[in-house]
Amino acid sequence: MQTQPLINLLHHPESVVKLSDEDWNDIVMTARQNQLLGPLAARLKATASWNDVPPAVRRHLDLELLTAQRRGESAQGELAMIRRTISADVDLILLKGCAYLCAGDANQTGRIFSDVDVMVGRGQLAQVESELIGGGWKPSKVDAYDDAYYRNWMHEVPPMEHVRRHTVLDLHHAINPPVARYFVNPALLTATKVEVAAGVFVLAPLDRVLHCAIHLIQEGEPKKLLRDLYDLHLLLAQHSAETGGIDGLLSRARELGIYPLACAAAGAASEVFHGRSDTPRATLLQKLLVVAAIKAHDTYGIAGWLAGTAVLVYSHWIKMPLRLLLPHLCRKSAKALFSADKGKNQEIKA
Amino acid sequence: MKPVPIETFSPAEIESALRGDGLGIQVASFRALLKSNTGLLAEKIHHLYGDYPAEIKPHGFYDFRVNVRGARTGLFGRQEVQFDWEGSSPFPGLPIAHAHPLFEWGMNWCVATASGAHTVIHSAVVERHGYALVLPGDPGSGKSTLCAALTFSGWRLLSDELTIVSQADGQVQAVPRPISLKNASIDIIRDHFPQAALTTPVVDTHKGAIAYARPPRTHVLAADQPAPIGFVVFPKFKAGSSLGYEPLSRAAALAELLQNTFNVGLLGVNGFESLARGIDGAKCYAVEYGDLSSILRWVDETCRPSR
Repeated sequence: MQTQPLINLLHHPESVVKLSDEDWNDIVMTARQNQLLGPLAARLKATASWNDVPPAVRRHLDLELLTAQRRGESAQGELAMIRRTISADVDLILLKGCAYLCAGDANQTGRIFSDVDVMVGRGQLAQVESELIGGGWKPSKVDAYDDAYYRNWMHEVPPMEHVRRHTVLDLHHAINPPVARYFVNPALLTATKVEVAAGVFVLAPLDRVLHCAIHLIQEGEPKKLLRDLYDLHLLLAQHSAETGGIDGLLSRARELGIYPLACAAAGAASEVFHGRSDTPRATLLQKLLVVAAIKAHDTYGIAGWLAGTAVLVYSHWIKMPLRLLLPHLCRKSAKALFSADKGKNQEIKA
Repeated sequence: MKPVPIETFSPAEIESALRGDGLGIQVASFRALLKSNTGLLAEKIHHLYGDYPAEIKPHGFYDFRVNVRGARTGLFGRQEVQFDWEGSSPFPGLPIAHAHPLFEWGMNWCVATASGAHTVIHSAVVERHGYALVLPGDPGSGKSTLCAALTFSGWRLLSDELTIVSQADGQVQAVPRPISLKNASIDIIRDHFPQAALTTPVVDTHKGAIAYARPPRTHVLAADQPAPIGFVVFPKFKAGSSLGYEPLSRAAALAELLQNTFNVGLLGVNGFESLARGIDGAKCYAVEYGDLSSILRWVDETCRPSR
C-alpha cells in the first residue's frame, strides 16, 4: 500500500481538491493501517480544505475524531483517579499520549491511545504500586521470570489493569532501561518538568520531543513508525521556536546522551514529511527508519520488510547489552515455540 | 456506471468481480467493496442480496473494503477463511466452509463500527404503521426468529442485529440485511412462512447450523426511511410456557437497552440522552412465550399505534 498520497495530504491539505473519490479508498485505508486516520482528520479539519472532503469520507473522519476525543476524556478521568489513589507527595509525570493530551500538544487532536503512561521516582515504585493495587489496579499475571526481567532490567513494571474498568496503566521509573546503550538519567528530565494539574507533570517541551524521538526507535515497531514520525514532525514544528530549532534539540540530545538516536529520528521525520533532512548528516539508521516507515504495510515489498526488521533488530541491540539480551531472546523464542496456547498471539517482549 | 440490482448479474459475473477488482454493494447508506477468492460467496450473494444496488466495476469511494480470503494456515495447515477489513482482521480465521456466515458477521461488524457516531444497540428492529418495534434479546431469546416471522407477516425489516438510533433525531435508521436463523428456528420459519427464501444451512459453526433469509425487495428499497421508536419488547423464549407479559417502565427499558449498547462508552452522556429521548414515546414490555404463533398474535394486538 502506497503511503505517499497520505503523506502528501498531511503535508499539503489543500491538495485535497485534486483527489478523486476513488483516490480516497487507498488514503483512508493507509491512514487506518498506520493509525493516522484521526490525525489526518484533524489536519484537514483545521483548514478550509475540510469542505472539499467528500461527505462519505467525512463520516469516517468525524467518527475517528469523536473516538479520539472520547478516549481522551476517559483518559483524563482515569488520570484523575490515579492521582487520587497515589499519595500527594509523589509527583506523577505523564509520558506519551497522555502527556501530549494534557500538555495540549499539536499532535494530540485525533490521536488515539489506549494506555496511560506515568513515571515516578524509582525509589517510590514500591509505595506507588501498593497504593495502586489498593485502588483496584491489578498487576499483570506474569511468571516469575518475566517479573524479574521487568524489575531487574526494564524501565517500567509489568502493565497494571484496573479490575472493573479494564484500563491499562504503564508505570515507569525511567524512559528507557537503565541497562540500555543510551540510558537517559531520569533526574535530568525531572529537573525541568512542567506542572499541568495539581501534582501532575509533563516533561519540558524539548524533552517531550526527544522522548518521542527515542521512543520510536526503542519501540522498533515498524507498523507504528509512520504515526510516530508524524508525532515527532508536529512536535518539532510546534516547539521549534521555544527550543531553538534543530540545533537546540540536538544540543539537549547531547546532554542526555542520546545524540545519534535523536539525530536519526528527527532527520527521518523531516525527510518523510518535508522531503528533506535538516540534520547534519543522514545516517544509515535514519535511512532505515524512512524506508521502514513508508513501506511498513507493503504486502509484497521486500525493502519495507528488510528495513523494518533492521530497525527492530537495532531497537533490541540498544535496549540492553548482549549478555542480557541473547539469553532473554532465546528463552522467549523457545517459550513462544513450545507454548501450549499457540493460538493466543504471544508477544515477545524484550 | 449506475448501480443496478445484484440479480441483474449472473453468479458467474459476480464471482469474477469478487476474484478481480471487487464487487460494489450498497447496503443502506454504506457502500462496501467486496473481494473473495473462496468461490463460496457468489451464489449466496446473488440469492440473498438480489435487490441491493451493486456494480461489478468498482468506482468512487467505498465505506468498507472487505476481503473474505481463503488461505492455508502454515505449510501443511488446513484451509481457513479470514475476514480482512482494511488490511486487518477483527475476527479469528474459520474453517473455509464458514465463508458466508463469516462475511455476514463481518458486515455486521463493519456497519456497527462505522455507525459509531449514533447509538448502536445489539437488537433486532422492525417497523409497521410508521413506528419501530425494538426487540433486544440475549442469544436464545428468539429475537432473530421473531424478527424473521414479523418480517414475513406485515412488518418492515430495519435490521435483525443492529438498532441504530440517530444522535440527531432519535429515529431508528434502517440497515436491512439477510436475517440469520439458527438451528431449530430454520425449520420453524420454513414451516410458518413457505414464501421465505432461505439459504441451505451451514452446519457446525460456533453458533450451530446457520441459514439466512432474503429480505423482501420492498424492505431493501425502503432502507432510506427511518422510523421513531414506538415499542420496545424484550422477548424471552421458554419451551412449553404459555404467553405472559408485563409492562416495563421506560427507565427500566432504558437501563436494559444501555446494557445492549455497543458504544455507550464512546458516546457518553450524549448517547444516554439521545437514547432516552428516542424511547420517550415508546411502550415497553417484557414478554415470555412458548410458541411463535402466540407471540405473533400478541405483537399484532399490542404493538399498534393507539391514535
